[in-house]
Amino acid sequence: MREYTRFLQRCFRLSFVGTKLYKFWMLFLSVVALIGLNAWAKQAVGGLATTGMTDQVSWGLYIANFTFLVGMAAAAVMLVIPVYVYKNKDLHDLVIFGELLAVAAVTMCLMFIMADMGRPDRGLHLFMRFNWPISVLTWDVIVLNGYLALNLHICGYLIWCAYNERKPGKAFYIPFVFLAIFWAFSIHTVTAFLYSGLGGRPFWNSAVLAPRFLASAFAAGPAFLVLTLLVINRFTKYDVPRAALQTLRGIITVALTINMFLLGCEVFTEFYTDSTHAASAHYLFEGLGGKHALVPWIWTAIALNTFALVVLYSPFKRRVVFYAPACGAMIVGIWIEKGMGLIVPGFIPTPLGEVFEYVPTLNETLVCFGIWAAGLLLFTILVRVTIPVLSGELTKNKLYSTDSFS
Amino acid sequence: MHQTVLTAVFLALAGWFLVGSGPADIPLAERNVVTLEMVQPTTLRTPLGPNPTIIVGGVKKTCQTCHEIWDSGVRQNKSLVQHLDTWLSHGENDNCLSCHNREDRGMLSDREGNPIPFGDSAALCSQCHGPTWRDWQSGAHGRTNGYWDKSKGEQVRQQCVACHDPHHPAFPQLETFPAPNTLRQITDEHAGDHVLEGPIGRFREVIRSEREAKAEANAKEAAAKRAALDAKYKELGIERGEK
Amino acid sequence: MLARPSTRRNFLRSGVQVVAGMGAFVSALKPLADFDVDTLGGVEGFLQKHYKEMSADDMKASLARIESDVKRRFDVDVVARDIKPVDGVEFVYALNLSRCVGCRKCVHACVQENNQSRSPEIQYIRVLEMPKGTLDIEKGNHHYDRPTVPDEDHFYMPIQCHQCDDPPCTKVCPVEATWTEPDGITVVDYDWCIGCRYCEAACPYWARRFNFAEPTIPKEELIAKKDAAEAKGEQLEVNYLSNRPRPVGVVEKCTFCLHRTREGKMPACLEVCPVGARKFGNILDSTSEVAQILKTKRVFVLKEELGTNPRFFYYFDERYPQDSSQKSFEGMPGMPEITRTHGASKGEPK
Ligand code: SF4
Ligand code: SF4
Repeated sequence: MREYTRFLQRCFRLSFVGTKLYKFWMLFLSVVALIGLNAWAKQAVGGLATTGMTDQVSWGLYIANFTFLVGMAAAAVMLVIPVYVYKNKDLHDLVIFGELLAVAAVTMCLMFIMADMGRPDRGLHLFMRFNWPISVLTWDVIVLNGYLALNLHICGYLIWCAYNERKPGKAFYIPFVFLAIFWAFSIHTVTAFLYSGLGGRPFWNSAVLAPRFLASAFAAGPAFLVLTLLVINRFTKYDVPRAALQTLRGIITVALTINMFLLGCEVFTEFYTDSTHAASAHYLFEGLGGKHALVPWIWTAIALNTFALVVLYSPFKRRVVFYAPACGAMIVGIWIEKGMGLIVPGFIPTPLGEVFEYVPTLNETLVCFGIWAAGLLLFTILVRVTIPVLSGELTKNKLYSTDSFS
Repeated sequence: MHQTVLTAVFLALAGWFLVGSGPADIPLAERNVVTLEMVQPTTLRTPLGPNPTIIVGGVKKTCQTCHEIWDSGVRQNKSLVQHLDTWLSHGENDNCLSCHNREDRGMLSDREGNPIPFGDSAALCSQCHGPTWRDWQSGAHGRTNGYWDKSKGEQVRQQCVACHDPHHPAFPQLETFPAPNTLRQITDEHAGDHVLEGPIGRFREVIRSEREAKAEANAKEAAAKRAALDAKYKELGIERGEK
Repeated sequence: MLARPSTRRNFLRSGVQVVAGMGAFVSALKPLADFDVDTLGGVEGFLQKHYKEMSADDMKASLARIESDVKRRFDVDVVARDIKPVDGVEFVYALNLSRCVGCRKCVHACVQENNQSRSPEIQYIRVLEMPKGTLDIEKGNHHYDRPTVPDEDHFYMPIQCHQCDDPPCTKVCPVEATWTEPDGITVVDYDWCIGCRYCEAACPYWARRFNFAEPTIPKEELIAKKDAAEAKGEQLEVNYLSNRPRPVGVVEKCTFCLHRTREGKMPACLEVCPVGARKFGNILDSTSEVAQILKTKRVFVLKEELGTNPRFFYYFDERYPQDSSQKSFEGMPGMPEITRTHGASKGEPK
């Protein structure tokens, strides 16, 4: 136990140590996170009226980001599956980064949910009268927290073993890894069911929503990991195997293709049928009743995704200068498509046909940035601590020299 | 060096939080003022009681006081001194004595001329308005106020004349109460101007032009009627209160 | 521990950094200084049990807290009650679309009766102005603002909570803060709702409202209500599950005025309807008006395909009530000249 506290202590101190660039990155994230915290405090005092949400559009940026981040978290398994199911060696050492991303993403999800709740002070009611299994939201609470626990356990165990210069005992983590694989599908499926189970919202009430969620998640998540790995490769001594990046590229390409295909299916069904249920889709893609706030966004998303897809199928796909921007474009594209492009139009028009637009307020946007910054801060620290431990530079018996970190 | 930067940045941020940043903006829309008196459950009109009276020259009189000596004709004829405020627009029923009893003006009259008291006018209306009468009896038509559970309190079934003026029974136009003005609503002039396509759209166009023609004709006719009436009043030297 | 020699200067410097960081963190929370814990119900509110788990004593304490809360917020004395459903009663509403003229009097009577927030504005009833020739509510106009109604080209369709028998809203609530009572009314425990707004997304009739800010009710209006009640020899009452003033951050909805209807009265929206388009009663009593309507009229419900089984029915009369040419009564003797009596006053009430 004493050893464990010491380990945590060392990790904590380690997170303050690094190059100048690292420190400025951390400073930047802290500043943004603090500004977000300040904005959240204002929201706590003024109520959710400080956000752009209304009775007409009762979920906004928070839930949009939440949805996107659930996908990011679920995508961690896209590294795990090849390694443990297909015994792909290239990715083996990278699995842990996927799981760290999952931890950070789920944490952000929980923060977004907290920010979205009208009465976070009553969170305790969840423990006292839990409407399970009727409410899909309770399922989501369980799967998200369970997923967080699973990933914390797997990462924590692996790191702890490396720190103690032990070989991880298979029985202590392999079963959990397989559980996490199923669990990852469940978090995203359940989150999709949150929306697709609502008969009163035809835009969401579609069976293709869950597959779409999974496909987009399995594109955006690994894309984010690729960017992280490129950064790690560039700024640390840790050497990311090239082959791993290429394996990820394969996954991303397939997932993005499926995602675009499913989106096409939805668009076809909505517009060819052209029943009154297509009103939300009309609003999203071309505007409705003189309102078209989302139109430029969704077309940007489609352009970004198309760009990424073209790059991924082109002969340049192996070159980082093309590959990395494609990943970036895809992340942004999917964020728009799945966040803003899915949540907001579900409310427009309202079930009574009122076309009422949603525009996020500055305060709300700051809270979102703050949560992202806090999440990235967590992710950076986790990665920062993990690298030296995994590479055997920081162990129980080794003093770690900060100078070696550059 | 960068440690100083760090400290400075944090301090600046703290300063801004403490002094610079105000509370978040909450746009409170204009409030639509509707007071309790404006939403009272009063009926549109107050019907005459069972024994109607009229004040002539400061003295309370019953109908019969005048009509004892003055038996007006069966047709609508109000070019005289009384009932100037009464005007008939009851479809084909343009005959005073279709409803008023000729012998006893304090009474109404059924088809056969049998008296019906004023307080029981529904019995009279029912002679022509069968389906509405049926609906009123079952409760589908008309107002019911008070208690749905009659064992707990009184239930008031409003009579026909609580809402309809028997002389011109169509429901008048009513004042519109304020439209919604919810949080962050941007009132858009054209909201709800749906372009209706297909047969409904075309049908509405036809209806619209028909109605415009009709309204024009109506206005002409009404102006002519009024002019004639005014002339008649002038001839008789009666001041007609402008309402 | 770390390899870098921790000299005193170094230690001091990092100490300053940490202090600065903590300072920034604490001052980021400065807006919370304006925070009034009472708006959240205080400690008692925090510890309060779920409605269904409260004992008689718990309820008594809770009602006392509500009374003092209303006193604190609006400086008005009220009596808080918790009226229970009556056995053998299931409420049903029927609305005659041939009669409704779209005057919105019901909307505002409801606001008065149920103490909704005036700003930000919360109203349970929406009246849609529908072009003739369609029943698709997406074609309706919510914001019509002509001085008088009805308009000849339109008919009017008020929509409020349909008190579904199979409500999608209660299903989704993660904490069971909303449920359907034995008499068919879907209620919200305002002291239990966590404000996730999932139910708001689930309701296909857009019947739920969220308190995005602390609700405001002008004190004078509450006093006027109290005076009116006292003139009738009654007290100003509020009810736990319906019309008590709501806290911030929770969802609310139409309850068919259960504090009135459970005592045998008609709902407020029905009482004021000038044309008698609204009908209410106990469907389990075959002689009630609503039972008669369901028997004799051709009724329909909104969005029947969703399987919500509403307790709110619409019906028509056989024919259009009147020939439009009869309606140009303007300027005729005895016809009231219509000027709008209400206006809009700027700013925030209270
Ligand atoms: S109308 Fe909406 S709020 Fe009312 S019971 Fe049905 S789903 Fe729930
Ligand atoms: S907003 Fe309140 S009542 Fe509605 S689902 Fe959430 S906790 Fe339940």
